[in-house]
Amino acid sequence: MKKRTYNNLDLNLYEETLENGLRIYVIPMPNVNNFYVTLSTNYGSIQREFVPIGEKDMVCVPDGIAHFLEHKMFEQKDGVDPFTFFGERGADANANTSNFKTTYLFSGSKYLNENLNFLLDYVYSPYFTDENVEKEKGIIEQEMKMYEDDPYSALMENMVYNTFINHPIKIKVIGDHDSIYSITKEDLYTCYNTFYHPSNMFVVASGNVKPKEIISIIKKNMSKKKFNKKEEIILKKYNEPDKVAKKTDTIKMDVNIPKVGIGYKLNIKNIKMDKIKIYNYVSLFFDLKVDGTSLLNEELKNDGIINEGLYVTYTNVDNFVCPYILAETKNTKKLLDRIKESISDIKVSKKDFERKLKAMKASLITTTDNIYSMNNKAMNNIVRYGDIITDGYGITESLNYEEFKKVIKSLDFSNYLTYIIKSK
Amino acid sequence: MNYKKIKNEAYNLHIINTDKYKKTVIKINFKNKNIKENIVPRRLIPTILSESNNLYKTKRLLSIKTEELYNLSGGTDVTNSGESIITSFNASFLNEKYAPGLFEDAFAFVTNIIFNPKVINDSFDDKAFKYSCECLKEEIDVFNESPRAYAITKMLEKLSPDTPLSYPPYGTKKEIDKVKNKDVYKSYVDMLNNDVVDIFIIGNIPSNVESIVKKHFKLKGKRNNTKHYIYHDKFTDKYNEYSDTKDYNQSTLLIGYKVDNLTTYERDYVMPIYTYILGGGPDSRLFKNVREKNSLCYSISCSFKPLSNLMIISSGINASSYKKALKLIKEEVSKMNKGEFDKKDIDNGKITYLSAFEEVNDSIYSTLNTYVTREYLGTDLINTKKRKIKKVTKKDILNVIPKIHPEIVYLLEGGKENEKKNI
Repeated sequence: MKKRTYNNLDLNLYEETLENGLRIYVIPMPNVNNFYVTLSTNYGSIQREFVPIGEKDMVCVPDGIAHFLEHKMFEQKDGVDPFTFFGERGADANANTSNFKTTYLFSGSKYLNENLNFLLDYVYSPYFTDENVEKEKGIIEQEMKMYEDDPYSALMENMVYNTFINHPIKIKVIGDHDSIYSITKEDLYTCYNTFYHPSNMFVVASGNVKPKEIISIIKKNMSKKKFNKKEEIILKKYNEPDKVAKKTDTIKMDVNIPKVGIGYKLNIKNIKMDKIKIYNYVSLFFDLKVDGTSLLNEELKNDGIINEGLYVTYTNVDNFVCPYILAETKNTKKLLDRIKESISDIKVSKKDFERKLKAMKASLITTTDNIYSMNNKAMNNIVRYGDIITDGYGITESLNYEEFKKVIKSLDFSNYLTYIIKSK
Repeated sequence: MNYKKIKNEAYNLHIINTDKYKKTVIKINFKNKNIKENIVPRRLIPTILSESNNLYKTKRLLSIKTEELYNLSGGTDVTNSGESIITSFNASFLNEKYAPGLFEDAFAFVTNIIFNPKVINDSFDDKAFKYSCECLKEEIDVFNESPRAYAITKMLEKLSPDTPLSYPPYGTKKEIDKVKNKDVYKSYVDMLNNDVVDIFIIGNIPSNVESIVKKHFKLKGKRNNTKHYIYHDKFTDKYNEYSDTKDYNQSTLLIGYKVDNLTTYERDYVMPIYTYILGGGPDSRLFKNVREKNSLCYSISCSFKPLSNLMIISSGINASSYKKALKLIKEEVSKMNKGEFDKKDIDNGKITYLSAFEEVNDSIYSTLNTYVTREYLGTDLINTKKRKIKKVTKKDILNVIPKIHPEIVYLLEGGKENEKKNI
């Protein structure tokens, strides 16, 4: 068991990798009653073309299958419903799928041993039948419709679709109607057998947890399970062009106020620096340009173009950092023009930059009170950087104005796309 | 955790001292009777205050100040709390260990927002007033874009037309067009002079907190307390069906029940266990039968709203499944009412609540909330809750069942054409 310390945050991280390749990370947090345990596989919607384990040829699986598989893992041969099992032990259980990973989780304050053993047992015992696969389709169809009625979900999904040309991140995590209805139990086993090997997975336990206890429970449980030898997963590589797939687009929805988005597809391949620092600089730049402290925000409000603020969200994959600025306005053209104009002017004052850094450091401290935030951050680090970043504070301290200016100057802000959701 | 309540003439100061968290949170609540005509002015006040402060001339300067205060997270909100309406001014920030002296700066920051707006001739700054009106109209528009929020508002209008439950949560656009700047200012003065005021502070609080509060918070005058719980006196005991259509992909099904004459124990402990078994989560009757067995929905839940004494079952379905879903839901309710549940179901509910109670103190906001609800609603603190929930029996649940009256089925029908394509 290896121990590391979160720089300046009064927390430690313990980690161990089992013989079968499963990585375990434990973040004990003082002063909390609850624990939060997640078991994740590096398998999300973007792994759609790969060579299945034991086969030779590349296959393309139906869109939405990683998410479908997540739903079906709750089906057990012995009929035990995982939700009932966890419920009987006072644990809150769930699962979720993103572009990059699938996570099974529980939180609670008691029965850690039983719940953790059960989590490992049910995730490592798939049971798919024609009947139970068929049954799930109606449920997922309703889930899909729920998201389709949410204008911001629609806006983001469509913008990411229009940003990328080849990369499968453009495809919705949930898939579409036809792809979901085409999924078979054989497809599910193909994906499960390829991506649910322990060597492609990791556990993160945060909160009221003891590292030795967690690691010992997992070791004991996994020693009883048989897995094939670890094999490298061959994934299709995508050559993603720099340009956006579609520059402008508009749809109509039942919205009272039109929604707009502008997204930037920024290639950072030529910047010789840690990705985490680049992400921080880009995020600082966009915050400084559009959040409540920016002149742009104030002017747009004064001119009656927006009422509520502008919101920035990111989709980062491979060498691309893609910030999306979202807003609602009745004056879509003016808003988009003004944002473009503001972003193309890359000047930012040192005073503003230093203030943002101070705020960033304070936020790092306050999130360490929350078992969910710490766990989620750890999972995202593992997926993105292959490891948990324990020196977030040091990295933030190392950010500096001159480097910031250089990074921002090297980005091509003319490479953008816009999207409008109009009222019907 | 060390709690102290200090009563002053115009406000109560609640101090919850603890080293557990890296943050400190301040919540200043103004509370008064929820009157329909007051909703719009009350909703406008917080936006106007943050847009027209004498010290921070613009909202941008105010936002910059929050970052200078180590990223203080500040906000205001207006909530309907049954018969009352509450205006809250909130701030959370690094505690004294990490940022010595920040507490007074943060408290002064919040009180400055409350007490220091630009005022000319008994009116707010006109630009801020107009801007706030536009924001509120937009909030109404955005609120109505959510199928579930829209459906619940429509259902409540029909279910309980004579109570604050039927009031539009943000007022109406017509009311906003009619309201005068002077009237909103009057409402603000009324809020300062007549609302019940509670200042809640939780975290690692400096020992001179009382003198800091006195220095910056200078309200005077006694106030009359307000009620919260809404009670019902008319019951039809029928599933009266209503429907509307909107151009959504999915239909929203809501079933509303009025709950009558509960004791405090039944309201706080027995009803939560009943609704847990029926539709409290993925282990519930509704989830297992309507979703898992029949694949009719992705989301289905049952919740009890203690303040309004309502129980609401909610689901997202295809309109074409309406009759089948309703039949299945009624069957599950009927089984519950016949007592077709056992000790194990009750124990699962108890253990879930006990686990949730254990978690409360992990979060500074949840902990604070237990003190807020105790002050306003007389609810128990966590240790008492743990003790009392363990006592719930099947007999207790059977006793509340006759008090649950079916009243309404509301279907907000989504775009049918699209649904046919997908069936």
